[in-house]
Amino acid sequence: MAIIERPAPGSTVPALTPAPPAITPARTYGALRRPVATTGWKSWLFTVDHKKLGLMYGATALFFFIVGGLEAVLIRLQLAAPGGKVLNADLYNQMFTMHATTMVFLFVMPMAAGFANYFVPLQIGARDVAFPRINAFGFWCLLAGGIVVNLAWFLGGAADGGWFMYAPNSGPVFSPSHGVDFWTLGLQIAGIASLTGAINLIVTVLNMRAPGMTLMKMPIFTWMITVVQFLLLFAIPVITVALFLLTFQRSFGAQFFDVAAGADPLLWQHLFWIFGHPEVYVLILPSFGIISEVLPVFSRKPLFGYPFVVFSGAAIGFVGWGVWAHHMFASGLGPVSVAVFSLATMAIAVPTGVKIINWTLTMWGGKLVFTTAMKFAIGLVVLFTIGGLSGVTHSVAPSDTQQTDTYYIVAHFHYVLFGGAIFGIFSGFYYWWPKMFGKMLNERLGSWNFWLMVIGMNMTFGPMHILGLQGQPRRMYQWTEARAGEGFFNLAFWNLIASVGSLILTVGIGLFLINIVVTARSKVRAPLDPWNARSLEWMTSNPPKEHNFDSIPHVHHLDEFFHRKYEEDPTTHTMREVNGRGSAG
Amino acid sequence: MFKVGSKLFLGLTGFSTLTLVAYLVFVERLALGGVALSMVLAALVGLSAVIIMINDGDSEVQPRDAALVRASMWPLVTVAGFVLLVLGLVVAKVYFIFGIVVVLAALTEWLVQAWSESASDDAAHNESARRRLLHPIEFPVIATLGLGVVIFAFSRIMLAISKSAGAVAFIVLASLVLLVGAIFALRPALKTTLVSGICVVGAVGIVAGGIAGQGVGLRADLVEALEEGHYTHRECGEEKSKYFDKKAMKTLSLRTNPIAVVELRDGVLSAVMTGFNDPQKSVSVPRGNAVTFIFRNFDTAERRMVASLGTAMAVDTNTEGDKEGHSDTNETCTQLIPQGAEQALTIVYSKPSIAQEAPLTLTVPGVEGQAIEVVVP
Amino acid sequence: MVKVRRISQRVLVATGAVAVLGSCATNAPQDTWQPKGPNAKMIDDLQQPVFAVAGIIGIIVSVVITYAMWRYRDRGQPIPEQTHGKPALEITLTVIPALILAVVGVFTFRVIFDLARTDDTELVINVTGQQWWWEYDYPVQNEWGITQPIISSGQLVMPAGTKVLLRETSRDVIHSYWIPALNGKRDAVPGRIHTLRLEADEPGIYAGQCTEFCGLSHANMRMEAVALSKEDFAKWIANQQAAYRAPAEGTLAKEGESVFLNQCVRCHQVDGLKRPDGTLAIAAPDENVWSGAAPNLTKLMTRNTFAGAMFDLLRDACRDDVWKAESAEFGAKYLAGVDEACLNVNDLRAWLRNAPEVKPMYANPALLADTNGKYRGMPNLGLSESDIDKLVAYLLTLK
Repeated sequence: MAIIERPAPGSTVPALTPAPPAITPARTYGALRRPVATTGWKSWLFTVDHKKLGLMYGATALFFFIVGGLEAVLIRLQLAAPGGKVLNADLYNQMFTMHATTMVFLFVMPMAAGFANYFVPLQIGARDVAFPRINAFGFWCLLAGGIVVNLAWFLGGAADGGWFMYAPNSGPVFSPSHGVDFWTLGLQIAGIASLTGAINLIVTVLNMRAPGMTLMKMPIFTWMITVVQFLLLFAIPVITVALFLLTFQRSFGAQFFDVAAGADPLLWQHLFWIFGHPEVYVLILPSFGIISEVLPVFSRKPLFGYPFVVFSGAAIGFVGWGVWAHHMFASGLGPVSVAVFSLATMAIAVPTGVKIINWTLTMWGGKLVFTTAMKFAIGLVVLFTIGGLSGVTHSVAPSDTQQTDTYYIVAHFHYVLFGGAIFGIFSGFYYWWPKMFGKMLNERLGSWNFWLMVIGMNMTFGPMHILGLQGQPRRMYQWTEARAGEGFFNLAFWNLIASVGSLILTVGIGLFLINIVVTARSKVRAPLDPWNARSLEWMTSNPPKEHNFDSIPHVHHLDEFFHRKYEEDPTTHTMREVNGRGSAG
Repeated sequence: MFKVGSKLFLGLTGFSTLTLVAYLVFVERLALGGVALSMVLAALVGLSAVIIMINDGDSEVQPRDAALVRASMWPLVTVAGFVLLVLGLVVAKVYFIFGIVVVLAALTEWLVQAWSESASDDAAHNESARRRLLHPIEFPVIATLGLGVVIFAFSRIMLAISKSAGAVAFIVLASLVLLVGAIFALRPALKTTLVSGICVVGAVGIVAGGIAGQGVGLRADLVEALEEGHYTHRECGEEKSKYFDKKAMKTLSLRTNPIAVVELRDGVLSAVMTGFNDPQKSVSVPRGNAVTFIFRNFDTAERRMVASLGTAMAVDTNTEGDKEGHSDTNETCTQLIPQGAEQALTIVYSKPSIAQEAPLTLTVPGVEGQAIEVVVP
Repeated sequence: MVKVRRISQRVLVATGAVAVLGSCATNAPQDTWQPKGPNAKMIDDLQQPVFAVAGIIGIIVSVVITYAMWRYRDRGQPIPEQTHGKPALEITLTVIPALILAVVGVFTFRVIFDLARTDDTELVINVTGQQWWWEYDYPVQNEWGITQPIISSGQLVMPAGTKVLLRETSRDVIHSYWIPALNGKRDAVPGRIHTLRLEADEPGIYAGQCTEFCGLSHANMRMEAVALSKEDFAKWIANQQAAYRAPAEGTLAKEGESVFLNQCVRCHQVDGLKRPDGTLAIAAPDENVWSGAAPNLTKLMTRNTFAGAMFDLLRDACRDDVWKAESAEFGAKYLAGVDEACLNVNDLRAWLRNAPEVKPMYANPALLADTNGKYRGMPNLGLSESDIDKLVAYLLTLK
């Protein structure tokens, strides 16, 4: 169906020689011989290949997804009925803290890093990232950080102050166990991964694009990843500083958040949210990038308004620095600050809305193929719209003082993070699996996976809107009948629905894991270009060879691969194959 | 792969494991013996790992004509390190720590030297192997230590000389560094010996000065300040306190949302609180709660605000260090501040007003008849 | 075909569900869409149009996508024209939401500043949060008949139709004061004073909850705002300031008073209570409890919740009688307080018997090293059942 690569006529890039022969080790350095294995466990342990690292990021993230998901199921089981006995107060507090920490720092971010590491060099036609060894260092930092954070479970109790760890509750007086210390230090180590990865990818994208690929011919996924790396570059230092202050407060008697010594606890909140708000864009933009690849492929049309999508991504990255205190509308900032941040938050809804418009118009007038990847992509558009609209209701600060810290907020961010970030990640799985593993995930199982996730997700988080608006605060280990209201559809009912929904969601995700196993055992090899795709990574083998491209392609268009397959018919303006390559559908 | 040495150490490790297990079985608790055995086991495990790792995988490589083992300074340095260790146990902790560092560094160098010498026949190759391994560690560590010593020495100089002389010294040194650095940058062809010579002279000079400074000791006013607690001990009268009132403009002076802003304006002391339209003469403070007052002085003279803490024990939390202590006269105060300035005072009132013999007040010494009552319900 | 239809159904349900079913629980005590005071009404008036607009936009997006999925599905048509974008359309579709948001912004701005006003305050009440209960103190305000500071906890009693301003702070970690029927929430941050306007249109009891995670029993930290007519409020004030009446000699309650003096007075203050030697018993929670305060129990039985409003003092039917009373009768019912017939004895006894067991508080003696020997909440005092009998009898006299 598709081609591997062939230099376009007139390209002046000479074909590179095949990869140099294997390196012979210098003798006699004992165990300190340079590792050269290409297969086996040592090839994974010592690899600096962006593809292997991408897979390791993905596997780590998937593992932590399961851990975080189990933590969530335990939370929902505890809250299914009033006065639940599944978790006591202490364990519950650890559970919700670790659920959020795991999902944000150990699942979504590393999974995005995994996709980015694997596909950004391929999409820009490079052989690897700019600093492969630092790339490996970053991955191992992430793994170590994740282990350190979770070690606390076995060593005296996990962190229990909530994932944003407000001071003074996070200080040594009110959180005496070592859980918070493990959390702080583990996140510091994991933060190194993000920071080094950011520098690495930025340098790669700026310097190592294939000849002819200007920035505005770069695939949109790479663009979104680049914006994310800039966000990380400036946001991670802020959380690093905040975590250092907390570490010194807890372990060395500093008084940064000691009220009796004159400190103001709001300092922590400001520092955390200056990191925390760009962080949420770090979480969502990679998924935006993924579906911005998937939707055009399965609509057989280019992304509508590519420059608008690029600039709105950059605008989000920029304006996103100016809205952090919308997480603090009830924290006593005073009307002037609150008004400024409220208006800024409304402003940032605009570029996000632009993207929704663009995705919809990409589909409009296209030729839509509903593969599982496409279903997840469309699911993202709809569910993220819902989450985004509830976010707009938060931007109205007085309204937010009713909504914040209730289940309405929980509903909002789960719609944008689950319906948004996670659906995008699943879309990426189904889309890129054939390229990474040479086999296609089973579409039938995929369909079941998708529908159960949609139903489960809406059943779990939809009722939370009602719960929040009717007064159930978040982070409560138990809720009481006395505040649940009367009637059949009272808070007790919706809590139960949400818990049942979480079980359906678990089954749906379980189907994905089953799909992986089933696919691994299948013998059917995937074609090189199974989706009739548009970008350069599909011009490699399944999986790509270690050096990615035999010869670096010269790029003349956005969606270069698509243009090599199709040309426009001057009369009908539809696309037809070039020289028999590609297909009519 | 396993040579005699590795086999010996692995055997010892196995043996000590058995010993430890037997100990734990027959002696119920872990106790000192168990701890010691565990440490021995850990050490043996570590040594075994090291031995295996640095063992040459290839026996053919053993040089047939083994060269004589080269002279080495590391045994001597190791001993020196041990001496420091022992001395430190007796004299002062810092020598002990220094001794540990020296011992570890010497052992590492010794180990690597030995390893590199049996790597191959070719001495040059061996040396380059040793360098490849250790230079990335040696250079940064030595540089850091050296810089640390220079900086420490400079700090001793600064502590010994007077404040104005210190400012001059700092400026002079910084200018010299800038000047010399500029010269080095502009004349890259300067001979390395000259450059290193200049740097060494500079460093030695500073270290010498530091030694001299350490010998002279802290300058008199610092010694006195430490002994008498000048900057922490509050004097809450009308007169300027010689030390406590310095740097009034550099302390915590403004923050949002205090419990009250106490203003001295036109000889009248009043408390401005959000929620009350008019200035008040009494402030209600919840007990056991750290609250912050901000004192604003609109009077022409320098004034301070004094908070009486009552006769029942109350904790003044604005003193440095000891949170449980209270000032001599059971009151605390701000520093003297000039007109138009402000300063914050954080207090915890532990006891309610009904436990006090007299009402708790905020006053300004020198301004008669003006007091804000602090009511602790 | 079937797939597309199912997708469209799913999408419509997802967006419609919230709006349609949102009003299904009746009388949820902390419902944010049922304002009972002008501040909450300001918020509600602002948020309802915003929710409506958001809902409409959500429906439009869903419908458009559903339609696109049906109309442009792969029916074997050729690969379509590769339109790269229509800037004019894009800009229009961007400007319209921006304009809508601008209008919302203007109104939002107004409401933010209106809700931040403090210059029209008629009554000031200080609120202090700590783990895991709320303390209120009423500073002296002669125009309301408050001639000495009044301390209570759990239930914030205020006059209806009055602009009350809360000055909030905290003794330990960050808490948040929230009575949804009356206003949005405001965090209580240690070391800071935050203000919150509260005004109830009618007398009644309005439920609330601490809404900033504050540790183990955050879920159990509740409160209520009780609005009384101005006459009833004056009566309440007068009663709170009335002198302490010791129980009669020889009664069980008198024995309870001595148990109280032996055990409880270490932390809990009862104004006017005197020791046998005639001195005033002044509680010293600063010496026994980490937060430095324990609820003031003067006139305990004029409130109808305890232990941080986690438990009711009134038992079932009596409770419903007060909580569901009409505005006109509410004042009288509330002021009647709690008597022996209506007392929720079981919860009170369980609390006295072993408080940490019914409310997680770290009051575990094994953990006292972290807090310099001070308890984190009420400890297990190891009271005998007969002591508890006496105490209950005594507490019933605190009215």
